[in-house]
Amino acid sequence: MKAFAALLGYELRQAAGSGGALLALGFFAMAASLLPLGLGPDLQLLARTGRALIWVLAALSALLSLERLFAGDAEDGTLDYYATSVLPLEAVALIKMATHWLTTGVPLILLAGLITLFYALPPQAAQPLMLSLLIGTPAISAAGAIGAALTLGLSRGGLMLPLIVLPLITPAMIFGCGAALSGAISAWYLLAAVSILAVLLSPFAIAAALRLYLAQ
Amino acid sequence: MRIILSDLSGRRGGRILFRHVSCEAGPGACLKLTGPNGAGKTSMLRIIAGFLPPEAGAVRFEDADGVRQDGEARAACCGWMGSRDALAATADLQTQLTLHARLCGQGPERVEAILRRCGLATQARSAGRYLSAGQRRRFSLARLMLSRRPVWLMDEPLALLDAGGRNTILAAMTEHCAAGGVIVTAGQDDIPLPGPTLEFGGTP
Repeated sequence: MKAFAALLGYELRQAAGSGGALLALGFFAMAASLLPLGLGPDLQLLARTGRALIWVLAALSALLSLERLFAGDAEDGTLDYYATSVLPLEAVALIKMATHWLTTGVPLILLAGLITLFYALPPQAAQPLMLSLLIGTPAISAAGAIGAALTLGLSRGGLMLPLIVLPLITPAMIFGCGAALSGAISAWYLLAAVSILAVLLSPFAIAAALRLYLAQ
Repeated sequence: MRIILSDLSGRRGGRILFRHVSCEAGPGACLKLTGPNGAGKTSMLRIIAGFLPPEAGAVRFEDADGVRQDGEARAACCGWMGSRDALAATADLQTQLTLHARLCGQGPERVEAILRRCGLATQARSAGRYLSAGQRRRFSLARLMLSRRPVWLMDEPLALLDAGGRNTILAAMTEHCAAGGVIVTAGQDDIPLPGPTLEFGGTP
């Protein structure tokens, strides 16, 4: 639909231009590079834990670019116009999720592939890690967007957001780490299932949260 | 298009703002909500728009044949012009208006003409942050005119505008009513258009 494509293109250009994702990417790069220094020169330890560490850090870093996902639109009244458009709020939610994933999630996946070098991991280990992130990060964007929509208008929203989002992203994180570490096929299936469910259901939760905010 | 308010009561922030309000605005009418600041005019406007559910009573939208408009059809009736301008700081006006036209199911053909009509032709490629307060209101008007919706819900339509801006917006509103549209305004200014007036303020 033309309205959907128009809004998606606009949001992507705004998000890419605003550089909000840079905070998430910068934090991830810093934290993931510093951890090996802290863990010490035990290469075996690094190689054993590296993938899980990178996964968790990537998931947490993605949360950093969530706060401004809806807040700008809520503050300047744009949400009112989205609510009266031909697009249902669920479609707006999907566009926001996709924008977050494309501007924060995808660069994180690429960065994570590079960062495996710091953890004494063989190059073959990067592939399952990046693939599990590719499947798992949409769930993180979805859960994060739910948190961002629910904490709209809260003065301490920045503190509530991680509290709401962390339980929602934990399944994806556990299965993602499991898939990257052990390669067990069940972990991959579960990761894919969690991601699909999250992406399909969260637009409805996000739209409901946005309506709650509009009714204030 | 006709708007019918039946026994409408509104609450916001735990406070009852108005009770048992009944009113009708038919094609070509401009329903004016007047009263002091904080009396509940914007809240009633938001209830009509469907953002806020009413405390009691109902808002009915009926098209020319008297058929009730609900849900999506109702949302497609209302053109909103809020007190906040929803103007992105970094994108230019032409891009933003094209987006809003598409969001209302319209194509981008009329964007340039409407920019000219609202006195923003020279700002078409400027980013939103460079607009003055009056220009921001004109941008909101342009967005409303692009929406091609039969019901215009305008919050403080004449605020911040100079004499030229007021003439522009009143001309657009007159044209809209003459074409059979309905307008609901909230604000203190005198709008010289025919239609009912609801006065807010005092105890509900």
